[in-house]
Amino acid sequence: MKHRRLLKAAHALGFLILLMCGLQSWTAAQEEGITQGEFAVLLVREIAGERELPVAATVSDYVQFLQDLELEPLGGWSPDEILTTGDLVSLLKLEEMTRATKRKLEVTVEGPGTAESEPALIEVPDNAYADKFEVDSETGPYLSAKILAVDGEETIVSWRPKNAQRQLRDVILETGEYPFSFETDTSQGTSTFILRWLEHTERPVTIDEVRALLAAQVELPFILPQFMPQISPGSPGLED
Amino acid sequence: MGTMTKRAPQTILWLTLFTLALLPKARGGRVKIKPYIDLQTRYEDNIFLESEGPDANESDMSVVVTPGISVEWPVWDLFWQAFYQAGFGFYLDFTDNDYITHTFGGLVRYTPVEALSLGLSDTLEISQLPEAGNETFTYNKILGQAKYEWLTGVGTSASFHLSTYDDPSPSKAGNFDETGYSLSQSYKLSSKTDFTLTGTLRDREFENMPLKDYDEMLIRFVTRYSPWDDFTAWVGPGVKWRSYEGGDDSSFVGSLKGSFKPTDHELSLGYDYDVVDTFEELQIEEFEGLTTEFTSERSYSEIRTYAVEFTHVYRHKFSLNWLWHFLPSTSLITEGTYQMNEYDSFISSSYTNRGRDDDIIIGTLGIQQKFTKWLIFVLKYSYLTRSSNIKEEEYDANRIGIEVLGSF
Repeated sequence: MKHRRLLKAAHALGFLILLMCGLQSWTAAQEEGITQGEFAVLLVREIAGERELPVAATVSDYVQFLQDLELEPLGGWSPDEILTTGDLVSLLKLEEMTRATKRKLEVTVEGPGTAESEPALIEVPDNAYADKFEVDSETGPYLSAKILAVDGEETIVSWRPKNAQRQLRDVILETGEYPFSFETDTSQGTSTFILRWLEHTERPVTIDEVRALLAAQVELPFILPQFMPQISPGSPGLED
Repeated sequence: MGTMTKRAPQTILWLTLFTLALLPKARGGRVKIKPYIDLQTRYEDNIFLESEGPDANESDMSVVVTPGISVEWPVWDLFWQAFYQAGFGFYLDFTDNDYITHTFGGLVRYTPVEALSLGLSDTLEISQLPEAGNETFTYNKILGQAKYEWLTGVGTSASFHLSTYDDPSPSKAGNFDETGYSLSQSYKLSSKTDFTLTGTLRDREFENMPLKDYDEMLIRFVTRYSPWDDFTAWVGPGVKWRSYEGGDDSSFVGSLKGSFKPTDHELSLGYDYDVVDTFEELQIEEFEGLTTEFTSERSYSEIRTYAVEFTHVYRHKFSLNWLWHFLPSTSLITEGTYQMNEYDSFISSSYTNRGRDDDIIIGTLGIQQKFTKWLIFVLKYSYLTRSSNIKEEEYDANRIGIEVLGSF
C-alpha cells in the first residue's frame, strides 16, 4: 500500500514537472525570439535545401549552405545571436525591393474611406518594410499597397497603370531578384499578391513572425538548384 | 493483457504530456510534399559514341521522363525525409536502350542540441532494361553520420557506409559489397576562410573477380578562401592509397576551383586531378595477364567468354561553367570541359586499355528560361569529341536537347 502511494506521488510530481517544463519552454519560445541559427534551419527547410546538406548536419552546415547562396545578414551570421527585423530585411534582400519601389512606381493614393487621388510617387517610409499588394480581377489590374508607417498608422496606396502586373513585375525583376510570389485566390474572384515587409526597427523577430513570413510563400531571391539525381543503368564507379 | 489495457490511458497521457513538453522545440514542423517532373528530349547523331563498327554514327531521338516526389517532415529535433523518383527512357529506333529506373530514398536526422547531429540515410536504385532481356541492376547504399561541434567553427564528423551492387551480367564480376568509413575535422578560421581534413577508407569485395578485394584510402585537405563577397576559391590536395591483389600503390590527387559571381553572372573555373579505378567486363576469347575466365549463357542465348579488366585512369579535368542572367528570367548557359585520361591496364592484350591516352572535349551552349518559379525550360546544344591513340576509341557527336522541369 505504501509502495502504491509513493508511486502515485511520483506520477503526480512527474506530471507537474512536465507540465511546468512545457509551459515554461512554450512561453520562452514565444517571447524570447529566435536565434539566427534557428532561423537558418527554418529557411533551409522552407526552400527544401535539407537534401543538399550532409546526412548529419549541425547549424553551421545550414549557415554555410545559405552563405554559399550568398544569403547572410549584414555583418555576417552569428548563429547564437537573436534574429532581428534588420537581419531579416538584409537576409531576404527586401531592402532592395523597397529602393526599387521608391525609384520607379508612380501611384494613386487612397486613404481608408477616401476617393482615389491624383497619381503620385510612392514615398515608402524608411522604416516601412511591410506591405501587401492586391489585384482585383473584377476591376481590372489594380494594385494596392498597405504601408505600415513610423507612427503605426496605415496608409493604403494603390495604382492602376495600364499593365500594372507587368510593371510591378518588371520593377521587381530589375533588382535581379524574385522577392515575392503571386498567389491567386480564384474563389473570391480576386488575385492577391502578397509581399511582407517588416518594420525596419531592430527588434527581435518571434518564431510566429518567421512562420508567418515563410507561410506567406515569399519567394526567395535565388533559384535553388533542383535535386535531380541522374540515373542510368550501369555499375556505380568507385567515386559513388 | 488486462494490465496493459488498464495502463493504456495512463501511457497515452504520459506520452501526450511528454509531447507537449517538447513541442515548442518543433520549429517549422509542417509536412512538405514536393512533387516534380522533368521531361527531356534529345537528338544525338552518334548515340553509341563510336566512329567505327556497326554502331558507328548511329543517330536517334530519345525521350526521358523523370517524375518524383519528396516528403519532408521536421518534428521535434528529428527531420524525416523520403523520396521516390522514377525514370523512363525511350529511344525512337534503338529500343534495346530503353530503361526504367526506380529510386527510393529515406533520411532521418536527429539534432538533440545545436552542436550535435546524427543522421542515417538509405538510397535504393533499381534499373531495368525492358527491351533487352529485362535485366535488372540494383544498387543500395546506407550512410550513417555523426557530427559534433566542439567550439564555434570547429567540428568533427564520422561516417560509415554500406553499399551493395547487383549486376545481371553472367560473370557477376561487377557485383560487390562495400564498407566505408570517414573521419573529418573542420576548422573555420573566419567567415572568409575554413579548412577541412578528411580521411576516407573503403573496402570493396567483389563477388566474382580475380581482384576480389580492393581497398582504398584517401586523405584530403581542403581550404576554402573567400576574400570578396562574390569570389570563392577552393584548393584540395590529397593522397590516395590503393591496395589490391597484384599490387599496392599511391598517387597524389588534387583539385582547384574558383567561383566568381558578379551581378548577373555566375562563373566557375575548375581543375581536378584524380586517379580513378575502373572494372570493365571484357568479351574476349584469348587474353593474357591477371584475369579469370567466365562462361555463361545470357538471356539471349549467346555463349561468350568473359574477363575482367582492372584499369587505373589518371584523369586531368579542366572545366568552365558560365551562367549569364542577361534578362531577369532568362540565362545563357556556357559549359566547357577538357579532360585528359591516361589508362594503365593490368591486362596486356590488344583488347585492353593498356597504354591508351584520350583527350575529351565537351562544349555546351544553351539557354534557360524560367517561366514561373516552378517551370523551367532549357534548350542545349553540345558537341563532344574524343581523340585517342587507339583509333577505335575516337568519336565526334552532336547533341541537341530540350528539357522542361516542373516542380510544385
